[in-house]
Amino acid sequence: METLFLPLVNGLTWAMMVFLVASGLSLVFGVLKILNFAHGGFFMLGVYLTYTFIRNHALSPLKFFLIVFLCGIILAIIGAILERLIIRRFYQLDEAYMLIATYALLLVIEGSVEGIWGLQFLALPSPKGLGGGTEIFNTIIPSYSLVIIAAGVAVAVLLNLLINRSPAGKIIRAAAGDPDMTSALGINVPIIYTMIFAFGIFLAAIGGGIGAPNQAITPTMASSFIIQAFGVVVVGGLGNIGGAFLAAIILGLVDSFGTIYLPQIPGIAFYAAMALILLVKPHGLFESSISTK
Amino acid sequence: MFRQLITKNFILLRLATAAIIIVLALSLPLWANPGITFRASLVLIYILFAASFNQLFNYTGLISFGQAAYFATGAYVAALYVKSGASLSGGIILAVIAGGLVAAFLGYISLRASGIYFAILTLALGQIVYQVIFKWPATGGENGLADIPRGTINLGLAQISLASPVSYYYLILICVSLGLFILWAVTHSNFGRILMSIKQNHVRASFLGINVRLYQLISFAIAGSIAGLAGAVYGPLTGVLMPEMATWIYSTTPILLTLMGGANFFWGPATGAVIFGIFEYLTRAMTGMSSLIMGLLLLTVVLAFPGGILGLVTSWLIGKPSIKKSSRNEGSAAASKLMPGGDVINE
Amino acid sequence: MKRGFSRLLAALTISLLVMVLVAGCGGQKKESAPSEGKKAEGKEPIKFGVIVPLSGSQAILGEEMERGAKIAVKQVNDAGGIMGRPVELVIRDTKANPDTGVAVARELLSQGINMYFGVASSAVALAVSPLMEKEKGVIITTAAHSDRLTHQNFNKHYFRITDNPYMRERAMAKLMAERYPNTTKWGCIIPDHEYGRSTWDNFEAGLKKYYPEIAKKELEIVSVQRAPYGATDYKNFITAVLNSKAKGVFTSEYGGDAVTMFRQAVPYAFFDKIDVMVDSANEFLVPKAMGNMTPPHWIGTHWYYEAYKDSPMAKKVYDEYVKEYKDKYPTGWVGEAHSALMAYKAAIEKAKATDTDAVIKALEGLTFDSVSGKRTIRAEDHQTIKDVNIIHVVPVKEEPGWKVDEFKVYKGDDLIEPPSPGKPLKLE
Repeated sequence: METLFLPLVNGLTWAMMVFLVASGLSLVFGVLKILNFAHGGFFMLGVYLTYTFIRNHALSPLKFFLIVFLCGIILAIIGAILERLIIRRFYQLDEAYMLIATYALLLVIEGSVEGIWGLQFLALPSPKGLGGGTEIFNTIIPSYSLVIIAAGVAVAVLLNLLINRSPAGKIIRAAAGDPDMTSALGINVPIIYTMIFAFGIFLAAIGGGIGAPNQAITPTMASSFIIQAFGVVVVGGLGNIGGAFLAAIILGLVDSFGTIYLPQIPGIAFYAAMALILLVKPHGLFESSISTK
Repeated sequence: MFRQLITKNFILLRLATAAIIIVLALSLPLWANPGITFRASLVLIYILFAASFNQLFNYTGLISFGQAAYFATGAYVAALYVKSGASLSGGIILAVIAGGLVAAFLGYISLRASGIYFAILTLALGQIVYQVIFKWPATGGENGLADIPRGTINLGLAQISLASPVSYYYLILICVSLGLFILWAVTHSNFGRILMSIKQNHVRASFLGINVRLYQLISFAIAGSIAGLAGAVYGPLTGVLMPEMATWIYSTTPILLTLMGGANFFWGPATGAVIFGIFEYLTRAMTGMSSLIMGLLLLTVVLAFPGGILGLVTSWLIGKPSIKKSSRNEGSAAASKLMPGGDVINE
Repeated sequence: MKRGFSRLLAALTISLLVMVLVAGCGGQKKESAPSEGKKAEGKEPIKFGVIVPLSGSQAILGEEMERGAKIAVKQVNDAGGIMGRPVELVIRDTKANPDTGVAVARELLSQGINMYFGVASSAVALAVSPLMEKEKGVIITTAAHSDRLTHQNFNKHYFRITDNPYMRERAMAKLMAERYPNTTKWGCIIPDHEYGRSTWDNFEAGLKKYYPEIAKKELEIVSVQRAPYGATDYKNFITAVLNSKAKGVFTSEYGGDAVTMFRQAVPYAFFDKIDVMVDSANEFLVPKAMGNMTPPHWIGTHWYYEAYKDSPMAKKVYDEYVKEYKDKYPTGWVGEAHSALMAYKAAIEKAKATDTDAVIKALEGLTFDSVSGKRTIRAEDHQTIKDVNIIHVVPVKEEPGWKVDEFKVYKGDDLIEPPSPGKPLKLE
């Protein structure tokens, strides 16, 4: 039991961590058609900002998540300003230029984090009561893993409701599918773009804050997460948040079981699974759900 | 007035520039110190590496995020061959073949997808190459290979030792010139023109009976073997190879150089590599800020001069904007006008 | 508006670059100027190349080495320099990349600088060491622990000033046999590559030697967990070790990976369920990151200042570090960079010359004073025989959440492997 259950939980934890990054990435791509390297940078900023407020205090879960939320808002505002000043200049660029421009932004963020917070590695305590383990099926599971899994599922459900069931979602889908027509209907598309970008940053930042107690905080953490998130977004089908959710779970489980059953080739399982899925379905598991073209 | 003069004598100007560059490249080790000669050797290798990327990017319409994997393949094959006691010339030929074969195989897989999916697939497959190098005992695993000799090169009558930085610089110069010549010949051949027509409109090209994927695959393999060539002369230059060279982070280098120099020009990657080499030399005493500066520089180039340095120079010289129009929004020019930010750069 | 913005951005970036360039050059001049050397003024300075990683994931090591080097230079110059000549450092960033490492070394070599120290990564050391041989330079590394450097790939122009894994792992194994004689079930979590495997092989060999010898007990290795390099999830390995009922656990995961591993072990109450945890690689990096979450564990370190309280040299370096960098916990790399300059100073004064051949000859077999007492550089393979320091950290209530409550010093002579330059290291 343990040999199956444990990697399952670990794989799901990893999957939801990556999904928290990937959800914003996928949303922004779906509407703005930007595949944003810098998204990983905002994830990292979320981690560092949360750390700055909490440091080594074990707070109550309520306070902890309030701070994470607050950091998300702060970074979303910064994101909105950045969108108006710089990001919107990327929209008319060719795909390659856009990838490189956002990569440049990632480098700038990495450099700034080094400058502001220094090179020292950091670690964040879990909220009170969530720092230990819980016994399920005779197996100890870190309680905080369950928090991360729950957070991932909650974000997936809320995003689905927001996009497919709410009036705001209608406008978002319209702006993604046909910006000309939406604009002709008197809706201010540029403002919607700003808001979507800021919302994507918010998701990245709270993903960072929620995940922070799960690993070391280092100024180079952005690059490793962004590539995994890219993989998940592409396998799920660019712009399809549900697809990203499923892809995260598939790739997370492949990676987790891979390290246990194929220890000779660690790290390959993730990329091999990704390449295999794209071989069979060259455009990901699902079409974009936001902009149905 | 000045501009008219330049426009009139544009060909003359280009010839003069070419002559100056050739003289500089040939004479460099004679007046520069070994430190600069070493940096110039690196720049030459990066010129070829970046040009191999641009063969795909500008002349085929494919974005490869895995070019470092083919560079590393060539580098390891040549290094292992030379370490076994054989001559570098054989190693270079093997590296070209290996880079081409690996690229053909991985390109065959990647080309099932297109656009961003293609780019991400090349990235994923490149990471697999990295993992294989990292885990395989024959490649020295995570420690890489050290003490890679340069050996000698056999010119029939004479054996020339490559041990000195100067003679090795000339070997690199020859290899890079040869590689650039091949790429130039490819882009200016019938084959290259067909690739350009595929890039502009692959649907029309396939209606005309062109096997689009085959052409793209051949171009991908050529780019891979040229990257392999660049890698082959890299190992013996530093004497050390490490598996990280195959990762996607290294694959961004040729992209940066190409965009910085100007992707629409054959000499764009070269310009980017030279300017970047000079920039690195000037900032060598500064420590710990490289990513911030690199990011700002790149952001400036992409946003303020999207035609790259050569685009900027050309438009300044002949007063004609040479900025590439976004191909992404080609279908709906109206949409791009309505996009936030409003105006399209070159209209 | 668009054009205006682009121009503004361009102008901003360019002016920033110019500012940085000017600041960079200015800073370089300032740092290389002798610091008010009284007797040392007016003579031609002796220049040393310091090549260390100052960007990328190893920057944290490079930063500490740079600090140690700067403190050493200040002290040497204040005391009159070397043979009456002031000392200057030329610092370069290797970016932990062999080609950048070779590029900066070549540049400095062509300026006539022949003495170097620094380097964190073995890959950079393996690239720079043959260059030194070819171009008649000499380098002392202050980390770079691949045993190939003093064995298969050895050349006369390379020196290592630090203890090597063979010595350190053996010392730690000996300490375990002395202090935890009843802990006979051992396991490990190591990075799955040569460094990780060789640290564990050395530690295991040490356990197998010292447990029967000292504790008179048979030893059992119950779990060897090799985690992929750069893994973000160690939970599977952590549980595997727990399930194996190992009571002593060794790790040589390093940097951010080590912090992640320690952090993820906390929820399992991992450190309560084992007798002892041993970290062979990370100096103070793990406690500094973990704060009050730091579990009790032993750490192998290059230099622990408290162990040399009576040495005026160690005290001066420590005080200067605390004053200059507002941090009370210098890592061992500070001491190693300092020791590298002290070795050069002793060698130059012995040889009364600064040319490469004379310095190499003087360094071979040299015994000199360092922040960790006397060190001797072995003539055969240029490995330094020095003390191995091991510290024990425990969590405490007050800031910064942890403290060192115990340390042990082992003499290098009893631990070091016999020299075999040119041949691979053999484990018994």
